[in-house]
Amino acid sequence: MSTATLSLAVADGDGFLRRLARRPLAIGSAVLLALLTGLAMLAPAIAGVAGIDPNAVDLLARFEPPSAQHWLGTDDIGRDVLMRLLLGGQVSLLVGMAAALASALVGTAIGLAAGYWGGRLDALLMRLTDGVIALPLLPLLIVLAAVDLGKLGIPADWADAQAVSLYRIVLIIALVGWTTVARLVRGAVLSVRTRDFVLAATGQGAGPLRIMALHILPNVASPIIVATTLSVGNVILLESVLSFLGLGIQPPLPSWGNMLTNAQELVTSAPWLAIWPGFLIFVTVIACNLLGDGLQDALDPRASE
Amino acid sequence: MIRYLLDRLVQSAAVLLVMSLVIYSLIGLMPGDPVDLMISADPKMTSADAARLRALYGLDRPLLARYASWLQAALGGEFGYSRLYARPALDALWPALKSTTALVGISFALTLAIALPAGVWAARHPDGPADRAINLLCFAGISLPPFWLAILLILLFAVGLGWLPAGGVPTRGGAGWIDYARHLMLPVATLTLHSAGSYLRFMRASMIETMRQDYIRTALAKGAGARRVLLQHALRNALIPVVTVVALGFGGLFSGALITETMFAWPGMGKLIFDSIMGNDYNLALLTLLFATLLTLVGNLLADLGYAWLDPRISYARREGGA
Amino acid sequence: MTALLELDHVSKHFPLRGAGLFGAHLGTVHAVSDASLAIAPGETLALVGESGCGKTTLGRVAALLHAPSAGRVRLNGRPVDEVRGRALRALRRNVQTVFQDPFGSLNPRLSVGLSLREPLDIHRVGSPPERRQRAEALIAAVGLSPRDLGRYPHQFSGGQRQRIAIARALALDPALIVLDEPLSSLDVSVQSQVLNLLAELKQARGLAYLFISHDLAAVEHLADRIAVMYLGRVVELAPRDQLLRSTAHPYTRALIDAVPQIGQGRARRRPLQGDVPSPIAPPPGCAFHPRCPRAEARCRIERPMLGPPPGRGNEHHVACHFPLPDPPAAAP
Repeated sequence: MSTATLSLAVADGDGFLRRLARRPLAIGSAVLLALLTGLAMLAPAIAGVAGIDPNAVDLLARFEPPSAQHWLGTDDIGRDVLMRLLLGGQVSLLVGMAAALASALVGTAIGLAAGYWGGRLDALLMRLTDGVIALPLLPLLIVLAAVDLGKLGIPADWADAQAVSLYRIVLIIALVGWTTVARLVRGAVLSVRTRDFVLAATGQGAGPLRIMALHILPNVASPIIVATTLSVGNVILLESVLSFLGLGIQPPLPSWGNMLTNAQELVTSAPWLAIWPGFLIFVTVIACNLLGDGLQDALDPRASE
Repeated sequence: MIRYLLDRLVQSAAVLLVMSLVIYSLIGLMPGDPVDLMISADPKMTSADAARLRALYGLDRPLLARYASWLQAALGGEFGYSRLYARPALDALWPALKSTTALVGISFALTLAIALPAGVWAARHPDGPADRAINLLCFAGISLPPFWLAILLILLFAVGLGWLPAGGVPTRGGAGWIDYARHLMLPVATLTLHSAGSYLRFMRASMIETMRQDYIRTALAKGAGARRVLLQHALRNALIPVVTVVALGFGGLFSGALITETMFAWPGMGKLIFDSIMGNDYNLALLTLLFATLLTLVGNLLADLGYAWLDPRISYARREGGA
Repeated sequence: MTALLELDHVSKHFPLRGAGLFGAHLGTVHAVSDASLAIAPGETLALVGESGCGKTTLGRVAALLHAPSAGRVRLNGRPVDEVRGRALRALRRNVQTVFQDPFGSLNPRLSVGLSLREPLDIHRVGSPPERRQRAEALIAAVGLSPRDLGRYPHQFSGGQRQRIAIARALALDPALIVLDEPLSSLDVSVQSQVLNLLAELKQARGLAYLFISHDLAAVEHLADRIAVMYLGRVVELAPRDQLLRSTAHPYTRALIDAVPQIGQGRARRRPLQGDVPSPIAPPPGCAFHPRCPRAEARCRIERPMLGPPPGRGNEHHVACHFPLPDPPAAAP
């Protein structure tokens, strides 16, 4: 993604919405995502209304095909598949968005500091960024997920709690995912910082915080938003891979990734159980990517229309 | 230019060194330590024994001291013993590296062979129906969870149709090339489908960007045939950023194959990394992670050098201060 | 009478480094060397020269936006480098800047009203309603309407944006405004409008201007005194009429001759040869000697210092070994 292009485009606020409206794929993706998110967030409510407990184990009703009672059938220990998909969606989407947001925040802070103050701080932060980028992503995530929190001084019962596994995933993804946004923000800040209105603010006596908040950030916001949207898809993929490997969201809390963990064994007995969660991941991620791509194109004033 | 190269080499070495400390510390945070493993293998060991062993192996020293000894050994080529594979860690690395190179190499070549021409072709009529269709396919490729794709492929070709094996490598003394190839097909397909999408889009974007340039319009206005313009002028320039991106992705290739190798039980680097981390084989985990980092750094360096070499506009000596 | 702003032997240079962590030291850009100027309250000092002569940099030093590498800046007699923090911020109220590019000098994300109020917000001038009133007064003073306060910069033309920038510069009631090529990016028809506005404001508010321009013709209207710069040095400094009628420096002469006059004919125009040398490696001796029609051996070795040329009184300063003679008292 060209930061020069994105920063150039930043000033043209008017045409943006118009151009976005001309991209049905992006709009469609946005709608789809909104729908999925809505359904997922309402999952507990839906479960209540339909009277189905997604965690209810029923060993007498294993691997049932779709029926009136269980619209998508049941899984290997008799739980309702649809409900688990919805709940899993809630977890995956929440984690995805939270982690993307966290990465964006860290990346923005670092990019802002590096771009604004320059000099040694910039050199240091950029070397740090290069270092983290050089580390292999997935193996690093695996190592981080495998870390024994006890060695860090965190008590065992706390460490194993389910909620903590959620925070953990968000944290480790944020720890490695900030680099793209950091570089992007730094580039954008560097180009905005030399513009005359920033100099004018300095001449008026504005301090660094004011300049960053009022002058720089609003003018780099658009590329950040696009990058973050694009990263949501990626983050969801990462979370699903980690959960699939058993390192992410811990069962019984469902996530689309960990619903596939036993998939390989189930491939012969109940292939549909393997297909549904992956399909939903696929659809969500592609929607995020299409939306992000649409946003990026709409931001570019030199687009071919 | 030489000065720049030296500069970058020193930087890369420095990054590798710092990252080795980071990785070392992270590995140290993994559950247990070598003595714990010994204890689980030998339940009769007392805690006094354990303490003694720890002191013997220097496990009770502070982090930096342990790191320093490891570093010293590593610089001499000694990377310790792999518990899982019962041989020196370095020896466990090479065969895995060869396997992955085969897998990733073929997949990469295939990816480029598909993505680059298709990207150029798609750029000829941007936003036309063919282009939109290709674009969608690319997004599909990028968005597919690799483990799900693997499952689907296994379902279709191994379970459903029974044409291809579901994983592993042929046993020694097997049917030779053909059998090897059959085992390669699904993993290669998985890897290729995923990466072709992103390279295709990038090639396409680069071509479109290049075609917009004024000098292309000049060439066309001069009466040069569109096809010749495309191939001779535009392609050369459009390839420059693509080469950069390809080189940058170089490092991630090997660890990116991790899931695919695990799903298909392909004994490569990715699976090695995974197994060593999950199996608490500290020495091997450390070595493999470092190796992957080294590959990425080499890739970055090649990308920078290649870019400077290909793009005559860049002169690293004359650039102003500050990147 | 103390000068409002004094630049005392000010130099500003920028080091050039190669890329990378261990980039080589490639040289230094000597943007400004040993420049001394003084501006009295209510006076307009014009600073002219071609691109790269250092006038913008000097303007930035004068506006307290760059710290000089050598020399001192004094505001109302007080050295600026001794002032820090809150006192420095307070000092900034005395000198404001209008920049060359009206597109880049306004924050596209802030409404005009917010841009005008920002200096007031920074210095907590009055209460918020008072600040809003002041913004309305300012926008009216530059000929735009209070309705424009709610609009955004991209909704205005270049000339209007420049007016807004001027209004913003007036917000803190500065004694001095540094105008950095304020007309250069505007269409010719708009230039005179803005120029008139500047003249009005100067009259009404007793403002001092440091008017930086490469265009002598524009400067003629407003300037009380004119300083000419070449390759980072002030080569001539004189009251306007003296500079134009009894020009002392050959470079100034060439600049004046370069301004086309209708009916002038071809006779008087003798264009300069060659290009402006690079500020990284200025020629030895007098920086102008490679292009000077009057250059002699001494000019190649010894750098001329600013001093009064013969027979022009002590208001006129020139840095030349062989200044042009004072023409007889006939109209040019």
